[in-house]
Amino acid sequence: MLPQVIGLLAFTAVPLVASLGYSFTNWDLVAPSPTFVGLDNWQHLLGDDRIPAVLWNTVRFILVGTSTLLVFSLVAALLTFTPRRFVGVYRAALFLPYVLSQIAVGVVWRWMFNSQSGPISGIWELFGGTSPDWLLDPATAMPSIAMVTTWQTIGYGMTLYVAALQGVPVSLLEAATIDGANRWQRFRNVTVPMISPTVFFLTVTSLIGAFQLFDPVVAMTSASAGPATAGGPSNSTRTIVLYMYNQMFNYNEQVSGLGYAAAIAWMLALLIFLVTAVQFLVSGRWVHYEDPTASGGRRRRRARR
Amino acid sequence: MSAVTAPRAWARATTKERGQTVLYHGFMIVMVFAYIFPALWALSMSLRTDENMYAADQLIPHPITFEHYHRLFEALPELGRYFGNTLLIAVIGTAGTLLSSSMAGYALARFRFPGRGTLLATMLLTLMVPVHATLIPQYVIFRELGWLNSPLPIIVPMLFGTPFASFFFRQYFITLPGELEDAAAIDGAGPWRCFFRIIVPLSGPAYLALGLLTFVSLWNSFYVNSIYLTRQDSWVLTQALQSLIGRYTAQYGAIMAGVTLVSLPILVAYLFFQRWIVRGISMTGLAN
Amino acid sequence: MGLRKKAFGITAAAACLALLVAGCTGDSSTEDEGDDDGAATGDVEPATVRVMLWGNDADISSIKDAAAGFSTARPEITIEWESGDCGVDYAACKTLVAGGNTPDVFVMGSWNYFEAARDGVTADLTPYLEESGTTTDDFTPAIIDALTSPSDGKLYGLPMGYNIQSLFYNKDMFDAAGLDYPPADGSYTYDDLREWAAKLTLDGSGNDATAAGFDPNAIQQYGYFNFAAAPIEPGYAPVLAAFGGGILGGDARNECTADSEGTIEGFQWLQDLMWTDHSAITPQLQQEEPGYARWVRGQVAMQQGSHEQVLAVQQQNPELNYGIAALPEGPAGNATLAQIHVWVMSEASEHKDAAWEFLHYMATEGAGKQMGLIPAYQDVAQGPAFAQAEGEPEGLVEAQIDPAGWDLTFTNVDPSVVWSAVSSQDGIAPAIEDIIMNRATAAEALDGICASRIDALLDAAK
Repeated sequence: MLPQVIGLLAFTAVPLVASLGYSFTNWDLVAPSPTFVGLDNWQHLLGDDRIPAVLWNTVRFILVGTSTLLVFSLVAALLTFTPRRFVGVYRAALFLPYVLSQIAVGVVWRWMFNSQSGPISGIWELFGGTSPDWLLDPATAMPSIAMVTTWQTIGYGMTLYVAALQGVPVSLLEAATIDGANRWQRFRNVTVPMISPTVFFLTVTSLIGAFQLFDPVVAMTSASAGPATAGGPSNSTRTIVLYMYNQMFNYNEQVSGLGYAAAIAWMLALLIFLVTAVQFLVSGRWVHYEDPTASGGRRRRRARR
Repeated sequence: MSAVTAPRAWARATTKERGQTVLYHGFMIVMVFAYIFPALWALSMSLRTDENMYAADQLIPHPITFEHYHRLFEALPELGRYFGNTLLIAVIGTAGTLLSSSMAGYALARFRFPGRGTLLATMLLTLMVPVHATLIPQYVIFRELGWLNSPLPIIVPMLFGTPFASFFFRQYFITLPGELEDAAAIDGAGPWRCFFRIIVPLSGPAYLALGLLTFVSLWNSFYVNSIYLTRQDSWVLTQALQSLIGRYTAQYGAIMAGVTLVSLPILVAYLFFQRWIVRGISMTGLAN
Repeated sequence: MGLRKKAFGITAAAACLALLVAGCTGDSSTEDEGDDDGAATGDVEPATVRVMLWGNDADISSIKDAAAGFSTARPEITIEWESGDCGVDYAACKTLVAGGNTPDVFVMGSWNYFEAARDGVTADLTPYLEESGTTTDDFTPAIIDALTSPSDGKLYGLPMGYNIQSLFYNKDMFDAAGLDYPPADGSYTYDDLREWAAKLTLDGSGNDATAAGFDPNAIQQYGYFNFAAAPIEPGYAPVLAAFGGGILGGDARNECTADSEGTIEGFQWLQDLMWTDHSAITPQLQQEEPGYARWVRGQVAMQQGSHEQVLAVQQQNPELNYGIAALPEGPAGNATLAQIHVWVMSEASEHKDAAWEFLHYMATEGAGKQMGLIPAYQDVAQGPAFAQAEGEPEGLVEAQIDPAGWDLTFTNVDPSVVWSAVSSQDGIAPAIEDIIMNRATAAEALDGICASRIDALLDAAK
């Protein structure tokens, strides 16, 4: 255990605590050393009117991104969790986007979203609408990015759900059938409670990821392939971490470089902590954990020898 | 499993069941095709002529050209070396994470020791503070250690285990019954002997699942590598691909050829190992 | 409680350690790894010089090729090549500086050259230059002027070369439309350009954009592309300057002129081509396929671009029959934008003499053929290093070299270090997006923008 603790301390805890330390300093990264400024950065943070705006952008991302991820990966899992021919291939195909590099995702989806010959616009117009400009329109840019992120992570969510669905005891489902429950009732009253820990896990991790959204925004909104020009159109996709990054390197109005960036980072960590804590508190009401020792024997065991 | 039993099942199936099967596969093929369309588009871009690079009717390229693959190797003659560097980082990093995180996870699952709460809290925090905020202090540490331009800044932290992986293993080990270890302990086995003799052999799927996730993220990471690996002979594949983009022009055909080559091995690995991966995840009893 | 106290102690100690480590950068950075066999020529100790480059694979190999002569002449100086974004993206430089790992020599873009100088990251080269016998007169005047600090008169780098925005045109399309080629020296106007663009825009039935039956929804060939559709500065800046405007003005480029008459007219010209005439690539089309790529493959008749386009043609469509002309005259005169790549030396370098030797060689004797740029040293540009190189289009000298001497030609240097803020989403970016997306006219989008947005950013930087 000792090496682990030392390593974790050296490579994780020290930089972490250092960044907290920096939040009480002023450092533009090129001066020889930081200057101590006390609570200035934190005070400035409270009065920074851009923070609510970037938070709101993040919330818009979450509303679309997290909800679609939870639903669509469940649908994908329901379609592929029963062992039958080719499901392995289907699952592998659905997992494919997860292994693609960001360069390809950015290039391909910029093309997918173009309103001239892009397939998304084509489908939209098929249903009679006039296609929006997706990434070029402040109203649709963030939802578009959220959809791409969902697209990329469905494979991961699906894999988790498949695992959970295969763990739902057959005996319980059979018992429900005998009691006269129809398909929907069985799903609602047996399956959903049984997979609720997975829903919970996915929600928690995808929210943490959503609050730290950065790479996809840069890949899809930057005019010059760098974070400096990302966040448009009209600031509609600037996230907290993008704002923090820009403050850190003083792309925007100068506050105090790394010092202010560190304060933003810790505010974000605090926020994520609160959101996660609330989720854990509320989880008692809807997340059902089966007792692993009691249910071990009842789990549907699949012959995989 | 199904691959063997299915033909017999098909022969026994009623017309209605057969119809349902056909319907299911038809539906799945359409859905999967729509879903991976963007990825197919990337593959198809790697096989198109520059002239047709963005044409909407070129999903199946006509004419097909392998010129971009050729150009890729021409522009990046040391591609083999970058492949080797990437593989080294991904393999050692994954192996290290698996070993260390599982040991840490085991300790967190089974032992009470002073500082356990602090350790858990620190690990949780690292997940919540965005990576960019700790970039500079980390960079300073690695420079002081003289590790720049070597894979060490990426590999060594992995050798001490990552917070996410440690949690993952902790959750998994909690679900394993303690009786076997108790029996071994009575026979005089120490905790680590218990771990390697009993726990590890029982946990193949968990290792496989986490191994894949770790491998993918190491294989595709760009930003961190581009900061630490600035000498061209230490580059990884993503850096090499990025070097095909100029300020006002880009060789998208060659980039997509590179992306195809880079993604393929992982996809094949998923196809082969997914059964164990799914089982590994299903046994973690996630997020208790 | 005891545990908590202990944890706090560890935490506090770790914080102090980290601050300490960050604070004492530089004293233990690079070790001297000099070659001891090669005898020193001149008065430079044997040394290893770390040189960091950015750019695509072709850019990087072009520089290594140009440096081959140096390694032969000065075997006692070993060059260690690195690649990193420092210079193209200043954030990458800051990471290196903060980490105490700045390379000895690197390449700055004119767009962040002065930011690095202000921060003391790059060394003042004036004394080295005086000693070397090379004078500023040996370089293209406009380029060396742009690199001379307006505040202290010092030079913080020597030009590797520069690129200039010109008009690239498809000869076959001009022939088919019965139009004369644009004069290479730029003796034509933005009105001419607009008219040609319309005549070179063709729909599916062969109507051009001036014809009565022209269908803007079925365009097969476009007249014009400008990187303003992206939107990036090298695209729109030359147009604004020719109309007598610009987003920032004044000697130090720190006065807001974004709502001036000329700026509005320039942006309106760009918007009109995209949305009134339907003759230019819009942001939507740019998103579908980059405008330069359309020009290279022969779907667009004209584009404003830099010399990089010559290399793109060689790589992607060597058959293209094209010419190159200087940018046209606007109401204020002929104007273009020059971007300079600058060889600079780290102020923190421990091998400044050796680093200077290398940098000096690359900017003088070794000048030319680096990153496809126009060399700024003496008349190298007129020879085989640029103008007479193989595969160059005709009109190159008039279009790419001569405009450096125009009165309105400017370099995107940023002596007041305000551009990154002004060009960001907090500054001008949303207004430009509204213009090129046709959500507002240029006059509407830019109305009062100095007072409402830009001035505050300029004040903050002072």
